[in-house]
Amino acid sequence: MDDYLTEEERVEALKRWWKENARSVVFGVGFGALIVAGWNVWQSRQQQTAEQASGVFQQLLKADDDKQSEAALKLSQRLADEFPSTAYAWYGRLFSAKYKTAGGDLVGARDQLLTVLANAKDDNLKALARLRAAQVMLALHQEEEGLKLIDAPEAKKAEAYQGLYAELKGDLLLSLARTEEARTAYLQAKQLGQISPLLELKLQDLAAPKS
Amino acid sequence: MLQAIRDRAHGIFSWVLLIIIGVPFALWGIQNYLDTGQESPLAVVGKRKLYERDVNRAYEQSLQSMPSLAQFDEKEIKRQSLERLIREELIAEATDAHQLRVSDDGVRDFLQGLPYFQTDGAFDREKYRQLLASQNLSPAEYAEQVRRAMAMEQYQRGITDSALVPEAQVESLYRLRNQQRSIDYVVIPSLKSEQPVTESDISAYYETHRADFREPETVSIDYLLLTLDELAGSVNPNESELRSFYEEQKGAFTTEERRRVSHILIAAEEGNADADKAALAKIQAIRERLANGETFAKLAKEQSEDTVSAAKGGDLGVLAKGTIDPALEKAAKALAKGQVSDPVRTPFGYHLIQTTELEPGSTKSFEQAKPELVKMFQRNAADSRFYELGQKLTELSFEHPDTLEPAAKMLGKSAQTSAPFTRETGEGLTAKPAVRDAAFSEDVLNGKNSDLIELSPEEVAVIRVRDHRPAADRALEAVRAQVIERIRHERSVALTQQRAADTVKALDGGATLTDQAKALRVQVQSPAPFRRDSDALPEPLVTAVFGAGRPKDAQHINGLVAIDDGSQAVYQLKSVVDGKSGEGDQELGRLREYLNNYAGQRQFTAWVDQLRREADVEITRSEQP
Repeated sequence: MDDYLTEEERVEALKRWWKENARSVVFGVGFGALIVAGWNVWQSRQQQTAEQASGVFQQLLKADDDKQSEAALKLSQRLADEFPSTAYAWYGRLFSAKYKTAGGDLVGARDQLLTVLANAKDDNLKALARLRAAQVMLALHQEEEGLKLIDAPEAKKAEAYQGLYAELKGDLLLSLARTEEARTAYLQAKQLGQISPLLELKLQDLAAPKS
Repeated sequence: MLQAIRDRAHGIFSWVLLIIIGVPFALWGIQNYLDTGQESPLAVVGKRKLYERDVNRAYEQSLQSMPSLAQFDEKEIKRQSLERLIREELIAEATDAHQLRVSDDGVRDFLQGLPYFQTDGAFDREKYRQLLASQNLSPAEYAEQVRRAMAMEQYQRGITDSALVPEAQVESLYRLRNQQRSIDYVVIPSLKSEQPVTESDISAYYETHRADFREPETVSIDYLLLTLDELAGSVNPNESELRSFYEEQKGAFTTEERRRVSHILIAAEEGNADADKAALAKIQAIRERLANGETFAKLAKEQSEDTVSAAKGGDLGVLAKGTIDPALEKAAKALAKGQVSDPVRTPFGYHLIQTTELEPGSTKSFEQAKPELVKMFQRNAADSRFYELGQKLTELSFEHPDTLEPAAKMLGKSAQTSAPFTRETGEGLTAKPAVRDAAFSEDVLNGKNSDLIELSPEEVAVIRVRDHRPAADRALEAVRAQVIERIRHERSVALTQQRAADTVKALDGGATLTDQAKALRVQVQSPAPFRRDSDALPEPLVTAVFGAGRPKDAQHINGLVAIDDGSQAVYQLKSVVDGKSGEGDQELGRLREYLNNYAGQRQFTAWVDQLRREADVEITRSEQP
């Protein structure tokens, strides 16, 4: 139907439309520009934070290489506390658990790992934290809790970790003197591809049942 | 509307508009045409495509890091290489997804700390540029690569290096490793069975073990062998050819002069006439003392101002071209062994230089070099001929797959014949696995000529099967003696084992090992407590004892194990003592380190496995071409 309008009528219609919508158009464009700018600022802030955290992490790795446990523990705490929005914060907690374990603070180490397990969004990271937490529980003689952790339904989802879980399960059961179950768990670990001299040693030490 | 555009398509504006619209349409889909000639990727990981050339590069890297090439399966290694690339790519993607990033400062610190960009311990910008240029990299590209690699390393170490190992775990490994067990044991030697071997025993055994007595599959082959050496032998260069070849290859017959030198330096800056004069006077005094019989080494030690060489009696080592000041080098070259130069002026000051060892350089004369020269010439000349004949051999044996005759005629010799050989072993030519593999390949067994087999860079062959004998049963009469031997052996093993089992039963019933040993007329052995890595006892015995469980309530555990061909050991496990930590702190430290690394590696492997399981990886061609 446009075809029936004359040139002047079309200009008229455009002008009218502009009059009615000028405010919302300007507002819309302005708003858009603001969002774009905001996004950019936010992005570069994110990047800056990540780079700062990365610098601290690099120091942490160096301290770890040099076996400076105290410095490493402090740096790992700093990562967790000051950069909570970055992935480095999780690494901080993992390292903090390592150094707390080495320093004998098993409860502290366990709590760090349980925090990761409860709050991380990455399933892989959760699976790892679960394994390590149960490992610390073994050292704390909280075998039942450890078993509960690695037998939990969510633990089954991390398929690649099943071999490691099974071996640790064997360790936990052995610590409870449930020898037969421990052997079954070790054999399962072996079946899942955890073929290691260490596992062989543990299996050998559990006497094979006399036939 | 199209009509309208055509009506108005006159002004420049319209043309521009048409071009702007037209170009994308014209090129639309051209991508598809260009792509047809390109290779397709072997695998797609997320956004990244992995091509065959990537895999080949990774494959070559893994070949370099392999200890030996004796047994390797190209397909398998390529498959592993592809898998490794996929995993690396997954790690790279995950690193990005976690937003791990290294700052410019971090990259710079890392680069400046690398020794190969340094001169005298400090970062050398010029060297850095040159090294990158030689790799065709701009500093920006390189920095980006480093940034990425550093972030990936952070990602990995965040997992591996944070692995924890509670002390209790270290101690339990320590206890296991250092556990000692003590036993008494007897060895029951292989017993002879008195039971006669009857005809029916023999035929029954033969029937059930037919497969053990089969004649293996063999083939014999006809082959044509082409070697560089044989071609070389027929090249007869004349005198003038040899002479000009000698001129070309003179370098190969020349040994460089080897000259070891010492020097004494009296430092003097250039442009300071007084200092110059003083230094010259001083060095001349030294020259005089040398002339009066004092040794160069001693004076160098006392007087030389080049302290590094002075400590070694002035020794500068073997002179290599261009390593010392040209004036000094020139002076040194003119010296006979033991001779000392006149003072030489260099920017450093005045030197005296002495030649301490000298093996003059030499060039073999044409006559001396002749035997070697002939060989080199022959091989050079035969090289292209060898290649050419190899090509022809390939063609002719392919074009006439049912006979070697045309190829043999071309080479001017007749095919040779091998003795029969099996898949596993052969002699001479057929000792080479490549030849046996070819001989037993499907096409060749079916009567075709083989492809050209490259035995070495200087040796190729084509083969065809002359006679193929499939595996066949051997008649009982032919293997009768072997059958009897095996029946006797098996009976004796069974008898000995029975005796051992009876002994264990008696021990379980309360008999003493001493009494049992007396009845068996053997000695009781009581070795000192031993660890699981002990080599003082037969290995099967150690393994059996450590796998026998732990005695409860002072009850001995009795068991038996075959220790070598035929004889049996019966042991009585008396006690198990776990290793006590604290005695060997160093070992504890080592175990801690080991467990830490090991845990980190295994957990990272699981981590990447998990990534792999969840990732969107498409392997487009599993079969490598």
